[in-house]
Amino acid sequence: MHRSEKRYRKLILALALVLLFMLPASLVRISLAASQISARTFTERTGRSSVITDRKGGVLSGGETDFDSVTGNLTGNGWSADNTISRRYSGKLKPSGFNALTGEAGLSDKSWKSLETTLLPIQDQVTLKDAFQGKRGCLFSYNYKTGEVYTLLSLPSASFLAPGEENADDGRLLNRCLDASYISGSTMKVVTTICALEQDPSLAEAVFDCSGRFETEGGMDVTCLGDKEGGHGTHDLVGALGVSCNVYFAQLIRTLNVDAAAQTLRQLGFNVNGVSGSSLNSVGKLDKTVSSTSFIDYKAGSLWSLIGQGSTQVSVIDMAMIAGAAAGGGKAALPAVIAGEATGKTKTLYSPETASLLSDYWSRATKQYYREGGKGLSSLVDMAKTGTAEQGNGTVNRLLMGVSREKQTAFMIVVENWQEGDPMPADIANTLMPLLP
Amino acid sequence: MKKTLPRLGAPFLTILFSILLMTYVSSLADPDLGPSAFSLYRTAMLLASFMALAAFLMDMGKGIRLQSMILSLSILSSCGCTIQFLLGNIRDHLIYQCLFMAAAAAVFLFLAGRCAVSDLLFYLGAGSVVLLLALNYFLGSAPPGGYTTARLWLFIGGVSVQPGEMVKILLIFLGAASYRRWQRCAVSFALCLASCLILLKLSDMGNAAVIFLLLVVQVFYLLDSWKLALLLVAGAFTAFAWLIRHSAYASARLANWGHAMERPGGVHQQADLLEAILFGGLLNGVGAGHAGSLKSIYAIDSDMALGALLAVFGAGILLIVLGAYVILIWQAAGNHSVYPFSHLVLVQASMLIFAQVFLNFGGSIDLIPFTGITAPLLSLGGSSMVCFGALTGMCMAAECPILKSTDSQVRETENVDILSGLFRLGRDNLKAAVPRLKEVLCTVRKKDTEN
Ligand SMILES: [Zn+2]
Repeated sequence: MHRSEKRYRKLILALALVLLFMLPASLVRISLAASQISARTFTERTGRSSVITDRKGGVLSGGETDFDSVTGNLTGNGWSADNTISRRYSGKLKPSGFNALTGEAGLSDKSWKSLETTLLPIQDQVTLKDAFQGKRGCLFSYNYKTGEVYTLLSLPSASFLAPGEENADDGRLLNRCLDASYISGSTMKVVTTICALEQDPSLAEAVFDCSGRFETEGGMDVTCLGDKEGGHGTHDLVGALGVSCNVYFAQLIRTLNVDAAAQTLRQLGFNVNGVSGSSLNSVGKLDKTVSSTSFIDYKAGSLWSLIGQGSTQVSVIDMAMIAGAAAGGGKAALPAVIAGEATGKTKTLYSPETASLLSDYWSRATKQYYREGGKGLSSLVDMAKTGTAEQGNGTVNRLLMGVSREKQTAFMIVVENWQEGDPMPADIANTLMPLLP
Repeated sequence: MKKTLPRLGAPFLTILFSILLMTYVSSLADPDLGPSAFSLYRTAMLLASFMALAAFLMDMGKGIRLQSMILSLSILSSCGCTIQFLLGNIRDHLIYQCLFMAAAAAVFLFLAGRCAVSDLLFYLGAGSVVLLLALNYFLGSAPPGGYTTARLWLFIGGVSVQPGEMVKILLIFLGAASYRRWQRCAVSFALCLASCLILLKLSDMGNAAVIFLLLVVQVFYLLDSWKLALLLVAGAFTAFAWLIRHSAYASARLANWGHAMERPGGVHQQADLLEAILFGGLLNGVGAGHAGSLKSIYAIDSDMALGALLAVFGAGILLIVLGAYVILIWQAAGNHSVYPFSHLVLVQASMLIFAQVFLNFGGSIDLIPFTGITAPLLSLGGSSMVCFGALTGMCMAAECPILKSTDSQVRETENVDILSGLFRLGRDNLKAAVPRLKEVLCTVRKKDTEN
């Protein structure tokens, strides 16, 4: 008989064994796939789901409930948006007790989980949403000591319960706190102050004169317009922060070392001239944008950048952390949306000396210019800085960053395309304060 | 003659009976009946597997190889009918089953007793392969829907056929007829290689892989030389590895391997199947009453037929189905025929069954790269069923040659040194001028006969 036959029979025997071996191998592969099922697939196949709750246990998302239109598409139930709790925390939303052997039959009522966030109770968030009176914008607030995020409001936003909006291109599917960045406006002056104090604490005492215009070599003069003819006159840091004097800060910037200023900005989380330092890229597993600015030297454009009108784009989360660090001795907790992740781990943004000087001057400016004399800012807000950012198309965004020591809360509010009669960010801050825990 | 007649009738009667039985059982499986119909299925399946096991055990050393192969075929037919009924394809599938039996009967009657293949038949087969490949290459197109870019189908007057399926069977035939015929060997190897390349070019990775494995068997078996076979296999393997690396389609499929659950590039058929299996549970499956929920999965009734059975009935069905395939392979390869043609048909058939089952099931659950190939007797598809019927006919003819051939030229008498044989042939051909080619061919054939 053929010489190869015996060998070939062995080969066939091996093939038959390979087929038999496929039985256990396939079971292993299938069991492996069990761990790869997404939370959403569980929901789609069973019609049930785990829930995402606010800090009081109220359901934000899950089953037929969806408050994405209030929480700024943060939970992401039903949408395909990626930067959402549903997607990024899919593992924590999967039911327990599921295995390849029993399948769906192995699931019971107790299998479904509840993922608690640090967000304010949903009815409070509805109140805050209403305070925007239909305007676009965002509101980020968080505890700068513990890191608990209270609000990540973003407007407009959409719920999957109102179908047909999934292809909207006006940014309603993004969370502006996480995914957007804004022209900083005058809120940048707080950052400028920090840069100055980090280089020379005695600059806190600096006094400059404002005649309404500061001439620079490049021909792009820095001006203080609108307030009064002939400028703000002579004032110190308190007054400069209070009236937001461009000319004062232009002269302050002139005394700074540019490289040291860039270093401070990077420590604050900015990407400066394309180089980032200790930027915060995420809130837990959620991505966030990074603030950025660019300047080359002390010529006009650079001044404008540091004053906040140039190429500076800020993340509201970064700005709230910078504000919170003023009350936190230069340190601010890393923000966290998921209850278990708020560990109070902090990031050092600037020195305790700077923090103490800044909070001293800034508190006085806030008290004098924002609260007293019927200005109307809540007495719970210890430090605040407004900003107005021109959008280039004739519209302006109104911004407000601030800190409340009593509530241990730092916040940043943006109202987009602000017009006469629209709510001011300060009104929204006043709504926020009593709602904070 | 007396002894062989019942053998002839038994296979077809068994298949027919099992199809009728399973159709009847299938008709009971109204989704509304739910669990009761489901348990009926499982009883039938269990019964079938016991029958197979019994046949297998009886066969040990008692020479009823054919019967146990038939039983395996019956079990697989039953499983095929069941899953196709549950997926709503029973009408088409029964037609294909009939075509399967017709093809098996026709090929059986044509080949039974034939221990050698004439030149006319061989070159007719070779010509058919060339024709089919040419048709596929120039006229083949992808199915509508844009799910796959593989140009495997010929659309002729509303009927779609896959020439690649027929090519496989013809190549088995050619390979089997090439024993100790160096000219034929060369033709057969060349056609295998060409088919492989063309099918790869048409993005039909599954059939290309099957044909490659057939080529390995042929090289190994026909040349009877470990060294040469290894060299050829290694060379061919390197060439294919290179080809796959340079084919965007193939490398994409390879890159997706192991990541099915992530639905790479929006391909979700494997993920859908795996999820269906998981949510049904390996213990019970989704149940016959809910099998309709699988219909939305692309190619569930063909490229994923075995996976569909698993999803519906749970892991127990795998034991039955894979067991039946293993018995088929084992028995086919265990043939002790003195006729090389018969023997070669059976060993190649066993390799084909192995390759198709391995690729179909492994691919559908992402155990191996997904290639898209049918599972014999389970998958819905006319071309696949007719061709597997032809192969079954070839195997049966090989298993029971009713008429003893008087042609003893192929009967093995001694071992021949393959390498020197090939060398001699090459030298002769080189010496011969083109007008003398025919004469040389005659000489070589005569030499073979003398040997
Ligand atoms: Zn001024």
